[in-house]
Amino acid sequence: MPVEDPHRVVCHLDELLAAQGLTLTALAESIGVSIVNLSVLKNQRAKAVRFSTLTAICDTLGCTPGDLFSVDSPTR
Amino acid sequence: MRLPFFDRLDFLMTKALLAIVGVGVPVISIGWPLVNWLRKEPLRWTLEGLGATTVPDRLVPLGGVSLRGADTITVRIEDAGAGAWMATLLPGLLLSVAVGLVAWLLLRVVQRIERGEPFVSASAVALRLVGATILLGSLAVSLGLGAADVVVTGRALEGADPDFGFEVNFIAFVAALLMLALAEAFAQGARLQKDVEGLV
Repeated sequence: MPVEDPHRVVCHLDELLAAQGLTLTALAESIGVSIVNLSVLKNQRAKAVRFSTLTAICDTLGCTPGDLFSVDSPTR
Repeated sequence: MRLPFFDRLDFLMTKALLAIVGVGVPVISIGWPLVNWLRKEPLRWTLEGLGATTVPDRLVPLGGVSLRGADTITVRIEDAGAGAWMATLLPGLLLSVAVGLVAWLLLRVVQRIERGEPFVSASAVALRLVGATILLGSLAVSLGLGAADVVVTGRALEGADPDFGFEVNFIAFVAALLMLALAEAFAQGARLQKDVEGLV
């Protein structure tokens, strides 16, 4: 299957933050990533995520990459 | 040994130099001869197309023309006429257009580098244009010089049969190739930059 652009990956950072009672600012401070970058991720504008960022988010939120991301079904 | 790096002052000096070259070349190559023409000064021109560095005996200067031969043959024509003046202005005009365009495009590229956004498609396109302008501009200037030589020789010397010739400027050719290679580097950088945008 060829690489598609745009992608269909959906980020669930919003729900995970709400479940943990954390704000984006608190997460940004905790993992040392700028709030602007996390905002890009939260608002579905990210095109790629560094493994180091993913590890830090998962450690802080106590989740797995599978909890953080899902892939939408293709629309025909 | 520590290699030099490009700081704010260097950016400033580069931009100033490009602006001076972009304005100075038209002033010297068009403005100055144009003033001489308007002031009815004699037309002075160095002939390249005769293939000689001293004035051959068979060539007879026409009225109001004096010749001086040292390393090159320089003619001085009193009351040269509009045709000869315009022919001698042509290479300067072509050079001014080419240099002005190159200086303006390079100035834009330098400004983008200074702003911290070097790898954008616009810079790659600008450098491709710079390369093409150097290549075509040097050929056009050489053709213009050849044409001016023919016109001035016809106006200055009786019995002259100048060769219309032009040379490929090797340095300009190499500079154009380097600019085109640099443009490819910037195009690749722009593609990588696009990949990095949206990376968290």
